[in-house]
Amino acid sequence: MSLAKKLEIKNLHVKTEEKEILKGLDLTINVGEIHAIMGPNGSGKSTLANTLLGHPNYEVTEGDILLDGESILEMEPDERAKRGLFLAFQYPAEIPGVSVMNFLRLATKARVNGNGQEMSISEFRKLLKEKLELLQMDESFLNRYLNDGFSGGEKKRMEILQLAVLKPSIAILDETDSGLDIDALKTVAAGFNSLVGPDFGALVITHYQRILNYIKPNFVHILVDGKIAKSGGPELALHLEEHGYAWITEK
Amino acid sequence: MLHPPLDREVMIKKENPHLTRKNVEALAEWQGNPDWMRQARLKYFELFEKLPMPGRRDEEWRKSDISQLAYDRYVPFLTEEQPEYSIDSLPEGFQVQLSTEEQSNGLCIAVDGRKTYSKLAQQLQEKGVIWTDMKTAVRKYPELVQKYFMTSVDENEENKFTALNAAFWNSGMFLYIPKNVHLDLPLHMINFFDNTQLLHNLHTLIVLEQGASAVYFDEFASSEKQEQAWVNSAVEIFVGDGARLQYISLQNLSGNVYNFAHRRARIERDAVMNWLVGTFGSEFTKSTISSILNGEGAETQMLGIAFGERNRFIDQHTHQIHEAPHTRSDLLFKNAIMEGGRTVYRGVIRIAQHAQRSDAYQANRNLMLGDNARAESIPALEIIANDVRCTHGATVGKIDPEQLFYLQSRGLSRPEAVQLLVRGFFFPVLQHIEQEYISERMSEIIEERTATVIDKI
Repeated sequence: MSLAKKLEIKNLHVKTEEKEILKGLDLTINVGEIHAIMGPNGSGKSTLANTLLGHPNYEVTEGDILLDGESILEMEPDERAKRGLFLAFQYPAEIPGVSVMNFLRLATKARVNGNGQEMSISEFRKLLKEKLELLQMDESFLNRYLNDGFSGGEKKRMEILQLAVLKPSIAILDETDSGLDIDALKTVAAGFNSLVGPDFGALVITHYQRILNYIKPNFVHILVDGKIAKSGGPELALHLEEHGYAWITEK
Repeated sequence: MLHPPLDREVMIKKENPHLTRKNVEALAEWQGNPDWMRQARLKYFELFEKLPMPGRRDEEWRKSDISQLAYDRYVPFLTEEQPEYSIDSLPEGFQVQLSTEEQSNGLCIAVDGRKTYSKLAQQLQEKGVIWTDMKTAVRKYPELVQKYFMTSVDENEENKFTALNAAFWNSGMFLYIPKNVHLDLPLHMINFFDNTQLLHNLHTLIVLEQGASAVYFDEFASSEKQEQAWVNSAVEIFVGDGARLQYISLQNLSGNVYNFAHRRARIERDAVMNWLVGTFGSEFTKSTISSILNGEGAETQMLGIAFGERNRFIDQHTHQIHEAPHTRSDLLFKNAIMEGGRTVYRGVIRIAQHAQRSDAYQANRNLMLGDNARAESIPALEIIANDVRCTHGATVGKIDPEQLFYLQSRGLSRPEAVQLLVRGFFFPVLQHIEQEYISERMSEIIEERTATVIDKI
């Protein structure tokens, strides 16, 4: 199965805990494009991220999500992942008793089962070593339990490490910049930028413009109250930085 | 769920017509026991007769209902001819994996208590290591056996079933490791049970002299039968000054077995006793494990994993007994419980007045793999010394949906993700097994069991 080249979100309405959060969101992401979604707290950013991967607590009440034209609403999260979707979590789960190495091996295998070529152990170790260096992570990370007792910054690096190792076609980054100091942000952005190319698309969700100094989006969207309120180019982010969200909500 | 009535004082009203003084004598005679062993059996028979059948008023038995034990039916020995088994013709249903010479320093298989195969590495025999069945040991090494038999605890701490075991023991092993002898691979004991009439009364004695070290792998399995079987086993361990023993057990008995296991270790100065007890099978298990830290600087690690299946009951008791200063005990018991399964854990920490500067830790973690699973955890602390550290804690939890979503979002299917989380739950215990063939066996059993309940999680 080849990885998806296009993610379409059509008139998406999503409910969680009896409350409607997304109220008719439209967005299309092709590989080769980097989209940023910005929005104030409570606008529905994390709901969008979780819904795209199929979190069981989020219910799609109307609209559709399609990969290469095929609806994925009935697909389990792992099927979506095998089609090329990836979510870098804002708050990654801690998994005690499972080493990073063991987990990455299993996750890589799961991908490969959908996509053909299997890697030998030595190839796999080489790949890991290279990506760890890129993210300035020590090899001892591989023997630690996945995210267990990791600092906020370590967790974010681990998300980007997985992104770099698993090489999805469309990645969603949910506030990956939050809680990172400037050096860590630069490292994480470098890891992300190494993936950018014609076969890779991304949706970068953020509250602040800061990350967009290091990750260059082609499109910027502003999410307000569960809908895209405005779309534009990179200049939109700068405008927001200067004027805040108020000018949109007041309109 | 209905609880059995709590006012039932005696759970077994029936008498067993075979558990008589005459039969103690007959068993001693049949085994060719010397007089001191005959006397010892009779002494414990008297104790057995004197002690009441435990009931729900006894703290240790409060949670266990043994009214379904067909107590009156079992015989202490078999008089008729028994089938002859060998390593090439093991009984039907024998699915236990044998270890190779690269995996163990010795392998012994007993079917219904009768030695069917046994091998101990030549170089160990030359160094004076003794590993044989109890019946032979009593005859060939009387001074050694007499010195240790039933001396691991005071007589007044025995209960009905340990007294029964001592009076009517009919099988079990004797291991003796001389001073400063080290075994680099485990001794692998396989206890297989087929007969459902015989009361399987195993008594095992393990003695490590000063500075010796070993790993003992004790495995319990049985054929699948309709009729109930009863195993009442005892293990007594003596770890001499500076000696070091790891005792690993894997109990994977069939669903028709009532399993009572009494295990205790006396640990002398600077010695280390590490338990790792895997409880996966049986209909009913009542297990007691005691570490008696008898010498200054003695240490024990007590690890347990158990998998409570549907309609099964596992009751585990542990005793961390600090009798000397500067002693350490570290305990972690992890249970996974399936829908309709039930476990009880009761952990006693006792620190005597003179056992100052001791350190005791106890944790019981329970993972529910379905609704209507029950896990109870009861700590009991008796701390008389005033300059000690003692920590204990218990938790009950379920598979976390956020963890599942996280793993699934990385491409792992739901069953794969659940398996990984359950494996992760048990890993902190299993990582203490150095021999891969043993930890892999336990992992396989865990995976198999987990697979049957994945859709209920």
